[in-house]
Amino acid sequence: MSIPESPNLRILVAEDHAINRHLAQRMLAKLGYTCDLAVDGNEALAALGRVPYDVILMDLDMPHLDGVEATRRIRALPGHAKTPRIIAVTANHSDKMRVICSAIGMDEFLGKPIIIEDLQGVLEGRRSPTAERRETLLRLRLEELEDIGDTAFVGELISIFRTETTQRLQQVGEALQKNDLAAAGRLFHQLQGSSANMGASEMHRVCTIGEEAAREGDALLVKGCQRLAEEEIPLVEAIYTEWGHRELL
Amino acid sequence: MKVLIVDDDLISQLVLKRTLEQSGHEVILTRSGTEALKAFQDDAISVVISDWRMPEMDGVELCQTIRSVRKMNYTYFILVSSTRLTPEKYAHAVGMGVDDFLLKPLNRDEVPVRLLVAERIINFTSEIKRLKTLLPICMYCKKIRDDGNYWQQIESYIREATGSNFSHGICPDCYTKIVEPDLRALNAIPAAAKA
Repeated sequence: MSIPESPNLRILVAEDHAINRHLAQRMLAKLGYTCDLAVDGNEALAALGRVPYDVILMDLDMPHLDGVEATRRIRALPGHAKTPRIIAVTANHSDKMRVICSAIGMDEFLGKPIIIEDLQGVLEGRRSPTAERRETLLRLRLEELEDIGDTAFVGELISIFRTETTQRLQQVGEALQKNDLAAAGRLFHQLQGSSANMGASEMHRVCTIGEEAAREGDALLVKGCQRLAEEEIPLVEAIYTEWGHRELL
Repeated sequence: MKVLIVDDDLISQLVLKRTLEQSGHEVILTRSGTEALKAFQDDAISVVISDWRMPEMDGVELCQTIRSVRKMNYTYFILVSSTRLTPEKYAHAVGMGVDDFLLKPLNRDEVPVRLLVAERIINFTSEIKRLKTLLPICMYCKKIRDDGNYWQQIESYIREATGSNFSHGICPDCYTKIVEPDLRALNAIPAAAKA
């Protein structure tokens, strides 16, 4: 494996398990990076007070202060809304955990055991293979819809989806302000159906968790899902636009 | 077939409608259980495809209500969901009369095939119903008139219609009424005559 050109990132590994800590350190070394180590969220916060890290590899399941809570506290610090980049590391690969991580402000998600190529990709800021797979799925779905109807039919669906999605997410916001979680859940459910049909798989995932969170009364997670779904709009939009112009290319 | 779609999401409605029309079905769109029940008064509807989670009345409740409506022909009910159903929900839905399940996003190839199954089951149920309803039967010899206007022995009619075979025996009533007098008559004949 080639050594990255500018391995001058300041990296902190927060991990309670000694073997995993050692493993992460070795992997980073192999990729040409050095790192500092912390054994729990408290140590990670303290270390961040001393060194302005670029990246934290944050284990989610740690004693005293876990990765989720540590991230919440870091993101609440002045000037830390976006930096450092926080990478969730966890054996819990569930969709819900993924969404919770993004909702609290984590930037990336690595499943355990860590695969060195994935770690390298994340550190170099490369697009994750899952993101690429999602885009491929979306394009395939548009082709399928075109088969069901025709190009005009897909155009009609895209235009409805654009308007409705923005509107519904706005309504989720209004519902949240009124503390009406039932209404937010219904909206997420509708979005779930339309995004699935439109091939927007990440939006579908987020909305599924959003509906579940609304049913469980977790307003914070509902809010997080709303934000993530909003962030997903331009990504989906780009593919739709590209699809619309594909004949011209 | 005439298919009733129930979904509160416009995109899901449109995608399903197109898919069904492409395989030659006639489609009625509704947005809620209440609207669906109103449209369901149309006797020609043979399949209902309903979303599961809807405000007011959900898909399973709609199915339950539809099952309580008496109709000439069986209505095939397909429940659509955006997430996989838990085993409990699955069992509950089947118990309430749901025949089949589909998952969003609806697959272009899957939906028409499911409708073929629906059509087959609807045909079977109406066939059975036709068999069970009035059969013209001769009041004297008990022959049955079939579709081709031929009078058949009841055994051969049923064998042809259902594939059942008959083993002939004698019921106690007929034994008393027919067999016993015959036996008595036989015994009454002097032994010499028999020999």
